[in-house]
Amino acid sequence: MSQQSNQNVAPGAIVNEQQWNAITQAIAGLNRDQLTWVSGYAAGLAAAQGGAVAPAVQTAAPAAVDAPTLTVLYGSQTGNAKALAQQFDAQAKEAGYGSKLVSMADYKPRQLKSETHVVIFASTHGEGDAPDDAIELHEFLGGKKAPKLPSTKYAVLSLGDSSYEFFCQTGKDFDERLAKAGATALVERADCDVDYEAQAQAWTASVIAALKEDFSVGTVSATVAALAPVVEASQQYTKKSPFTATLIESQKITGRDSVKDIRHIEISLEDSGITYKPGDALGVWFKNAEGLVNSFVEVLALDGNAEVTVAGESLTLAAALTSKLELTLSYPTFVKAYQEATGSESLAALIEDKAALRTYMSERQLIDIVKDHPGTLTAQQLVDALRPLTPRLYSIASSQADVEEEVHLTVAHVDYEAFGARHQGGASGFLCEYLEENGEVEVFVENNDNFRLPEDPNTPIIMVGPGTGIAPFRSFIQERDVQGAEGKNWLFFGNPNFTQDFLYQVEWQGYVKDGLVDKLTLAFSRDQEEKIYVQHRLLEHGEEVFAWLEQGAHFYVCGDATHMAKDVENALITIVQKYGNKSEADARAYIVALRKAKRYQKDVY
Amino acid sequence: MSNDQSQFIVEGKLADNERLKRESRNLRGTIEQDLKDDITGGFTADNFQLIRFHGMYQQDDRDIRAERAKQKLEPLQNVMLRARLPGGVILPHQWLAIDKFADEQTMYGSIRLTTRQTFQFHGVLKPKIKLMHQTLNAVGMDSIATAGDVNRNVLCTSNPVESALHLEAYEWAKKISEHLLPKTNAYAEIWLDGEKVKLLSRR
Ligand SMILES: Cc1cc2nc3c(=O)[nH]c(=O)nc-3n(C[C@H](O)[C@H](O)[C@H](O)COP(=O)(O)OP(=O)(O)OC[C@H]3O[C@@H](n4cnc5c(N)ncnc54)[C@H](O)[C@@H]3O)c2cc1C
Ligand SMILES: NC(=O)c1ccc[n+]([C@@H]2O[C@H](COP(=O)([O-])OP(=O)(O)OC[C@H]3O[C@@H](n4cnc5c(N)ncnc54)[C@H](OP(=O)(O)O)[C@@H]3O)[C@@H](O)[C@H]2O)c1
Ligand SMILES: Cc1cc2nc3c(=O)[nH]c(=O)nc-3n(C[C@H](O)[C@H](O)[C@H](O)COP(=O)(O)O)c2cc1C
Repeated sequence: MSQQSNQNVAPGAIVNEQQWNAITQAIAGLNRDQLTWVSGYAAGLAAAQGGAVAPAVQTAAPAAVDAPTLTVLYGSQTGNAKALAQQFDAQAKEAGYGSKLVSMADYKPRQLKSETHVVIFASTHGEGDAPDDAIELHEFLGGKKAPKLPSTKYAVLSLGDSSYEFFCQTGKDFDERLAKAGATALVERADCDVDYEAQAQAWTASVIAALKEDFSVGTVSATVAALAPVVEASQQYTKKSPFTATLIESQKITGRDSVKDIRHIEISLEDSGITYKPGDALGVWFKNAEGLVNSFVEVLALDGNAEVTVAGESLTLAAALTSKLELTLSYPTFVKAYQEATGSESLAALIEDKAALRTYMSERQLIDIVKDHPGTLTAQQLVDALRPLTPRLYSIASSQADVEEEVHLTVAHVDYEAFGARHQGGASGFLCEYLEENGEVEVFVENNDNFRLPEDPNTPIIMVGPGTGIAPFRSFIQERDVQGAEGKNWLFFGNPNFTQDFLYQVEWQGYVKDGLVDKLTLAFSRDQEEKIYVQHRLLEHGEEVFAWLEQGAHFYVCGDATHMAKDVENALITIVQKYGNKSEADARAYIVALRKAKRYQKDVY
Repeated sequence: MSNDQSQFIVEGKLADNERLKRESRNLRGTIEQDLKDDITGGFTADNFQLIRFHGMYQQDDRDIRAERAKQKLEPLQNVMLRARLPGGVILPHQWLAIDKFADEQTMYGSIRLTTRQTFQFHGVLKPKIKLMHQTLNAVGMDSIATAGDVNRNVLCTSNPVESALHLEAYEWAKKISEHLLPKTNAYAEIWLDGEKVKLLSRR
């Protein structure tokens, strides 16, 4: 195998094996700069010999084994990395490189050995974890069976969010692991924050350019180049050009004595032509609250009418703070920029201690940090310190088969008292508190093929969705209802109190009565002394859960990623171990197989 | 004999309550299944009526019915219990027990005294119902047949201080109350996990 893959790479028609060995030996151990220099040196020598280099390469073209391959791999949970990979793929095809776009989920890791050029787009999820579709490849490259890839060239673009502790971890891992396997980086890895567009574009261009040499026209086999680009049925409205929808209603669906404020939100998509599928999320752009904007202006003694420039556009400070910049989440880049602008010594001390800064930030919104460390800076400096506002995603809680031109969400209102003031979440505050009926809200659909009902309507499903995690399952059941799907449905739901927090109680009762939902298992965590969570209920019903899995059931988890989803996964492993009579390792393998068969899907946040 | 009874027979269609009792397997119905059904706080169909023979009415907070309908929540269902307390006599340790239960386990935290010489718990949620009956039983009380189409509580003259006659009347009130209890073990089976009811007269 490995010999053959070597031949794949060695431009056998140009140099003989002996020459090839000599060349690889000579360049082994060189770093990126040195390699670049060598290639330039060689090109110079070639030019000095006279004659065109290209024809020589072209004559080599017919030997299919010599053709370099360009595989574009993406690991993406919410579609960003996938969209960038698609854009890259389209550009590569345009350049005639004959690229192949593959989700990491559909990629056989062992195939890496036979690749010559791999371009990776990977986001990071959980707490520095790989997105679901990338887990296997990520593990494979980091594990004992990791292949040696001395003749592979690669490039990695990571997507992440600098407000998370392990920023772009998955991308970093891929880069490190590929380098360790002996592969050569084509360009330096790009770690992109939430405002990734410009950086990603520049990076894409640099990779396209870097590939030029290896993919100069003749070397690409015609059949590969002719492959039709894989483009999704495109939605007219996107993150960058959202649809201006209107709010139909925002109804609190927790009782008056609930410890939570959770809303059922209905938005009209009338006349937009927007379509979505159960499992998709809705992206929501929001405006920051007037009170919060005023606080920034007042605390920093600035003028809300001052002109500032944001991404080349000039507008007033108040307008920029309201609709262009992120004020509610806290991120380290702000703290650093704010410190530099104000010269705050107390902040400087805090920044020194990374762990302390993390803890400090995790408990505070930006306004708390500013109040804690008042200082003087200009309106423009403030604007420059802030990062662009990003839309939030919400799992769609309705099926168009049922609600047609509406889209429903289940939103937990982030609303709490801290440091002597009320704090609200940017998007949830906007949706639950400030947006009025018939008010406008900019939205777009975020496709999520990693969370889909089984294709066969007869396949049973187990849904685990505590808290707002219930949302996509309302959509699933609406869909199955309209479809007349015969597959069994089992829902596990949990929340603090039965009388206050049983989200969509009356609807679920109806579905149970109609026989659409076969089982509804509840875990109210605060109705008794000890905590009862969905994973406890799963374990209690372990035997039956396993029986369903053996019958081919799909298993879905939605809601909190930090604790719940992990505990549920552990419960699942325990169940498979116990009722499937398996070792822990075999039980884990069983779960991996479920995931690969797309029978274990997560929508967690 | 048959002639004697005929004077009590009312001509015409029987009330639905008679069907209900006849079909109830001696007042058991499917109450136990309803207790296990945790997706609703209420009782279904016949059981809604049957629990009255066990001393409870299903109620809900009417003031927030409309509000909860909008919240896609069922009405805030709960039960009210009326204790069987012949002659209205309750002992100090019994009072302490019901006071604690009312305080800790009911929605309103109160004991309501009634003109029928007994007390009621209001706002008891389904998961607390068994505990309520077991709490009463532990101190020699119950709520058998205190609601529905039965005699309810048996009263007697309220305590005229140190009256010998009162004690005698009170003994009769207890006897009558127990005599009129439905002849079924349903109450003990459902609420006390089969444990015998501790009747006042046997203490
Ligand atoms: C794919 C996906 C699907 C999602 N689906 C849903 C859904 O169906 N329903 C839903 O409600 N959300 C959902 N979310 C989460 C949602 O996108 C937002 O993250 C959430 O609404 C918070 O956003 P915000 O703008 O209101 O708050 P932000 O402005 O982002 O502020 C949130 C910040 O407040 C902090 N915070 C929150 N509560 C407290 C507290 N009590 N004390 C101190 N700090 C606190 C948190 O640390 C967090 O950093 C989903 C997320 C993803 C990625
Ligand atoms: N940053 C924060 O401070 C914060 C706080 C809460 C929620 N959130 C986020 O807000 C979003 C919406 O939350 P939500 O209100 O819909 O639901 P949620 O907070 O996830 O709570 C839903 C239910 O899950 C229970 N729960 C808590 N820990 C669990 C665990 N390890 N395993 C299983 N169940 C567990 C809760 O019980 P108990 O609450 O009784 O423990 C509750 O009954 C989620 O993204 C969540 O991560 C953030
Ligand atoms: C639940 C959740 C957890 C995340 N955790 C991290 C993280 O640990 N580190 C990081 O850099 N980014 C993290 N992110 C940010 C994502 O990587 C970022 O939004 C990225 O653009 C998503 O790309 P995708 O749509 O291709 O999955 C997280 C996002 C979500 C929704």
